[in-house]
This record gives sequence, C-alpha cells and structure tokens, in this order.
Amino acid sequence: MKTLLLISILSLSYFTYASSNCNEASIQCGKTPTAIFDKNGKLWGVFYHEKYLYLSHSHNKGKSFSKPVKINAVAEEVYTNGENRPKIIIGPKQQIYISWTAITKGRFNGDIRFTKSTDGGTTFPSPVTINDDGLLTGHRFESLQISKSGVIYLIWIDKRDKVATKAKGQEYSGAAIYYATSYDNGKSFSTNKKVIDHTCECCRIATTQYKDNIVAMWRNIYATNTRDHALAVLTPAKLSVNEVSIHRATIDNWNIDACPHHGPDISFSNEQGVHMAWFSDGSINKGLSYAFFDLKKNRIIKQKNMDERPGASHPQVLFANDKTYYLWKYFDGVQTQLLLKTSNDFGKIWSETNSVFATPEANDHPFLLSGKNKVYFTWLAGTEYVVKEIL
Amino acid sequence: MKNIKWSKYLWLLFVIFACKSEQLQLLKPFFDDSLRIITSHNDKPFILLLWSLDCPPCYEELETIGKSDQSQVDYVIISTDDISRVKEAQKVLTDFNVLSNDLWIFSTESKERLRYSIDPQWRGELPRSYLFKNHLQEDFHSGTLTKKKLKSWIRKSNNIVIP
Repeated sequence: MKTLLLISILSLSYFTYASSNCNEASIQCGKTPTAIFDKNGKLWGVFYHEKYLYLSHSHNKGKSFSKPVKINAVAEEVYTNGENRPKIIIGPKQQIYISWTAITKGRFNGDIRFTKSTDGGTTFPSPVTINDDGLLTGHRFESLQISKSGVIYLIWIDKRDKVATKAKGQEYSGAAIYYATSYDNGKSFSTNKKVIDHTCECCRIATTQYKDNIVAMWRNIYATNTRDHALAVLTPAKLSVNEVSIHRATIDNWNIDACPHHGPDISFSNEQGVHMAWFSDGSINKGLSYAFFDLKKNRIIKQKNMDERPGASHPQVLFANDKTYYLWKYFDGVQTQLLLKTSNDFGKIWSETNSVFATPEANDHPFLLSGKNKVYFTWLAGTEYVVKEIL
Repeated sequence: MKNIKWSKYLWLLFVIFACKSEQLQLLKPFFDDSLRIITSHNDKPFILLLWSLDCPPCYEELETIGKSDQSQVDYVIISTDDISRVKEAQKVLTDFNVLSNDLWIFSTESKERLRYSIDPQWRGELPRSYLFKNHLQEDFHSGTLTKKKLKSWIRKSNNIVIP
C-alpha cells in the first residue's frame, strides 16, 4: 500500500513536471495545429487541447499568436491521432470554416463536425454533425475544401456500408468515401453522397480546388488488397445526376492487409491537371513519389521517385507562383529533417534536395501553405510551432 | 542525459500507477534503447508484435494471438500509441486475452526514432511483426499475421514440427 502511495505521489509530481513544460491552450502546446493564410496575409491556426478546439491568429507570419478562442462551447473528444486532425478554410467573405472528427462510443467510431465564424473568428455557433445516417459507426478522416465560387465540400471515410453488408453476414473490405456540399456558406449541407466503396480506412483524403469543383485523392483498395490511390473530380453533391468518375491515380501494386496511416497530397496546377505526392511500399514503386495527373486525358505523367529511403515520409505538394514545391520528412537515425525540392516547369525537372529544418524531438506532419505570393511551411517540432517562408 | 534517465524513470512510474489503478497488466514505456535490452535479455526466441489502437487489422491479429496457445512461444508486444493512451491499450490487450508479460508502449520520444530503433527499414505500417532468434531478427512481416505465418514462426522458434 505504501508503495502504491509513493507511486501515486511520484506520478502526480511527474504530471506537474510535464505541465510546467507545455500544457496550455496554445498553438505550440496543443495537438495537431493546422493553419491557413487568408487573403490579407493573416495566419489562422486551429488546434486541440483537452476536449476543446481553439482558433488563434498571427499578424506576423507565425512569430506570435493571439489569445486562442474556444470553438466548441461543449467539451468533446476529438480524433487527433495519425492522419486525423481539425481542418480550417477561409471563405470569400472571410468566413472561417472549421471541421473535425468527434470520437463517438465504440471502436473506430466518429462523427464529422462542422462550424463557422462570420465575425472574424470571435464566435462560433454550436457545431453540426454532417454524416446523416444516424448510425454509431465510423465517419472519420474528414477533409474540408472550398470551390472558387464558395461551395464548401466535406469528404470523409465512412463505414455505414460496411455495417449494412456485415449485417447480411457478408464481408466488406475497407470503408467507403462519402461527401456533402454547402451552397449557403455553411448554413446547410446537402444529403450525403457516396463516392466509392472499398477504400483504405486509415489514410487522410487529399483535396484541391478545381474550377468550381474539387479534386479528391485517396488510398483505395483495388482487387483484394492492393492499396494504391484513386482520384476523382467531385461536383456539388446537390447535382445527383452527376456520376463521379474515378480514375486510378497511382500504380505501385502495394498488396497489404495493414494500415499505412499515410495519405497522399494534391495541388491544383492549371486546368490541365493536378500535382500529386504520395507514399507506397509496393512491388513496382517504393517510398515517396511525385506525378502529375492530366485531367483532360486521365493519365499519370512525369512520375518520379522523390525519396525511396525507409526514413522518408508524409510528403506535401503545393503549386504556387508558377512553381511546384515538394516537402517531406526524413529521419536520418539522429534527427528528423524537413526536405524540399522545387520545380519551375510543372514537375519535369526538380531541384537538388535541400534540408530546410531539423529536429531531434517528436514532431507532427509538416504542411506547405501559400500566402500573399509567398510559400511557407508549418511544422510542430517538439514544443515549437515553426512557420517559415521558403525562399 | 541525466534528464532523459529521470524522465524514463518517471514515465515508468506513471504507467505502473495507471496499470495498478485498474488491475491491468503493465505496459512499459518503450525508449530507443529498449529493443537492445529486450533482445539481450531474451535467450529464447520470441515474436515481436507492433500494433496501435487506431489500426483495425491490428485487432484481428491480437484476436488470433489471444485465441492461440500462447505457451508455445514468447511474445513481446509494443503499442505505437501515445503513452497517454496506455489505459486504452491495456484494456484492449486484456479484452483479447493477450497473456504476455512483456508489454510496451511508445514513450514520448520521436516516433521516427523509436521505429528506427526497432528496424531502420520499417516504414511505419501496422501491424508489423518480427521473429527474433538467438538475439537477432530472423524474419519480419507487414500486415496481419495470419494463422499460417504464426504457425511457421512458432515452428521455427521451437525447431519442432507442429501438426
């Protein structure tokens, strides 16, 4: 009993010790900070801390942040692990849209949640649940995107069809992808529309604006268990006549019954197509790759292996100011480096690899952001939230 | 360096406390030198399993292990989750009847560093498993460990034919 008491006291003192290091509601101490620049160059960041999501902004490109504003008035558990994190986008009239996946009862279950601020991030109404099946099942890994005209898209990984199929005593591999859209600045959303059955259940979905639609890319399940990627142009879900046309986006032949926890990234280039970045451990292609997907001819071109070393992970791609940026993490045995390549000719020729930052500490996924004709990366490295311009 | 050792000690106390309060098995915090200690202390062959709470196929694998005769081979089981989720991880292992006493959970060190300390060639996919024999890695597998594969590893570890 005495031993137990001693353990309790020491454990509590550890919590005090840990708290003094970093345990406040701030962008560098919160979980999964995710940021975006608005058209005026102000940086907005959303993060999670002890059952609440917070919004904070920076006028000086991330050097300092404002006092965080609570987004959800009622506490809720939020997925902030692996590829799950809150999302933020800015509307044409400076509306701030936020989404996340709330943890619901049971294993791997969740709901897609959404709220918005129309007063510059000062107040947020109660969040709404976007999945409309009323089921206690998996609705997770949401992505939030906006079209040029302001149509909001929410797209996520959904297990309602798995539940229905299993109820009939049949097997259902992976999960499905569903989406919903809003034409009225997030006041209401369309009914949920299915994109596809049988996708990988634990990788983020990448999205990018494409004219008045969006392009989405995800890790699909082809044949029995080939976890390569698919891509589709999604039109507003209200237009039920439009069938979604889905294309194979990567051919790596990765046959695996496992969770890669490693989703792709995508960036709009021009009307011809999109830049893609992804990870695979397939028999054809291993490590991190780049390719351009030609949306006019529905074909993969300019494919290049960017880093095949096992320590390379979580690539990001961004096309901005006529330049393509490709950023990823690489653990060299001592520290995690952020590596960068750029291309001035739409991905034909790439620069040498440059190390732009490094940390020996635990770290989050890195992100590329564009803001006022400049490109930045953000990275939570240890207890430092790094925002740096890429020169 | 002293700080690191102190931190390790405190994390161990934290998990002991978390486990004791729920009467669950102990999960030790896994640091970048833990595998070296595990392999040097284990003269007998063992199967190393890596899993996480957020990996649906990992649960299938734990179920297979839980339903098998676990006396045939030693298991070292490592959760790659944040150490703050230690209680959830313990509950899952208990629910699936995982009997091993050699249970671990990733510490707060960089996950890349911990993965690298286990196998520099591993790209992080889960479940991931290894057969260790004579203190060395004999074989590895990515994806759910099937009953067939498990049987072959048990056979290899015991050098006996299992019907």
